[in-house]
Amino acid sequence: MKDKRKKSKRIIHLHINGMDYDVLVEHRETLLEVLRGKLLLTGAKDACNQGECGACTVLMDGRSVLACLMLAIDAQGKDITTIEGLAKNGRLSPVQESFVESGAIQCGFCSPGMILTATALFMEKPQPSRDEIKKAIEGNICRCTGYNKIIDAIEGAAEKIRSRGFSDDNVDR
Amino acid sequence: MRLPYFHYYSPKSLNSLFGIQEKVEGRAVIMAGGTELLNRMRFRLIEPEYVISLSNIKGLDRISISRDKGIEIGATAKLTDIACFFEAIKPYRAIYESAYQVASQQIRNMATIGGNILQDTRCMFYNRSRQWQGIVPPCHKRGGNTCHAVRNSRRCFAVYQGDMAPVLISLKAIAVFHSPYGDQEIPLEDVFSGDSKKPFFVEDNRILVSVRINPSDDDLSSIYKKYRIRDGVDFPLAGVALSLKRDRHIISHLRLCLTGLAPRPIRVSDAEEIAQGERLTGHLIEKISEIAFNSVHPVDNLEESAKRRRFMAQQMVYDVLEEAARAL
Repeated sequence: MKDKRKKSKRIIHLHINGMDYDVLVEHRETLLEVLRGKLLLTGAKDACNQGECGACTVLMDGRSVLACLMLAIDAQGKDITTIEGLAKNGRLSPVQESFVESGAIQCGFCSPGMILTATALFMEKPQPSRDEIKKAIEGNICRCTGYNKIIDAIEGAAEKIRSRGFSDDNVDR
Repeated sequence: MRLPYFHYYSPKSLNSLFGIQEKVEGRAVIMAGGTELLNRMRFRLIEPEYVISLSNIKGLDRISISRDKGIEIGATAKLTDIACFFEAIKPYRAIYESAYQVASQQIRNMATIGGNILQDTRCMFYNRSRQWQGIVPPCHKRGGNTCHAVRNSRRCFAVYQGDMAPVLISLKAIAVFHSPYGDQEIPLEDVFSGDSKKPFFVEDNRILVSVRINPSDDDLSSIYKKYRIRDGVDFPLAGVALSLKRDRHIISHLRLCLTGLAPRPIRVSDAEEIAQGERLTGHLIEKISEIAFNSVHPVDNLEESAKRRRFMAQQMVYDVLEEAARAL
């Protein structure tokens, strides 16, 4: 019986960062494994692999989800944005820019997850309060414990968005 | 750790789901959001041959409220949507409070209310990695006959740690099940068996399709409080849900339900009886929190000691009642 299950594979169609991919996946493969291992989009990080750290956060139809807890098959037909897809035409998104300027990147491992979580927050609330920011990144762990700078950076991004507007073209909904 | 091998189905209707279930005869698990199930599979706590996902079944995620029909929440409604929906509906604020406190934003975007209600019981000696499982003898829940939490115990003490169920039970919710033989409605609290090893009375071919709450015309209010170490992501180490109906200053109906302390959500029915027809005074609040303290008997099998969880349950019962009294 086990051998039969090993053969459970399917070609799926994924729409990631505005590009279309056809990938052969095993039924058991998570979106994270496919992104990193098959599509070489290694921005989403493989850390705790149990949904506790938020390092594998990607955006799905504009909402933040954890790629390690999502089967690749289940991601079919959805618009997926990874950190690689945020910068457009060589220009960083306001959130990315703000992270760089505020020095909110130390080792950088949690940054993709943090930035995507913050981007999802801005799509819901363009001007979040500090408490709302803290609540939004509750599921993202930074082991350099640079949380203050990260929260500052997200606040700074809100400022940027207020002055120059937040265009959705950085994110595929 | 990678997931074990399985074959995946995502039927488009409940009928085809029942067809698949008949074909695979109990070798399948139902997956809603998958946030809890996939972790259990990773730890090889379960190794199903088939996984049947509800994600492609349309119409199972509707949330509605109306004056004559009450509330109906579809089983695959996402916790984020539920939190948004109930944020401004004051009598049912506890639904918002509990949904909003489940895990993290990312998980709430994936997790469903059905999955949250029907989550398995947990224990720090059971929800462990495979390597750890390899070096200790299997406990009751893993099919063995020892308990690592309580020495020489003949039964399992794994704890039900759902956030939504206590709130829904305190609001007298009804679970609507669908099966090939028709619909079935049972009070949500009767779905729980109280047995840690098999916490629900749900047979294989019954699917939870929605949760219903009958309309209420009284002055209803509800509160939920949760105790955990990390303010985010953690499961409740103790949780208290209260719903209160009153006629001016007199309590006409009070329901108190605790979670994270036993194999099932616990209703404190003694407290409910003595509160009937009384005013919510400081003396009564103290008495009810004492009764709540005496009605739970947790053991040391979660991240926090049983003593502290029990004390926190009492304190939170006191806090929710005081909050309700202040709102009078």
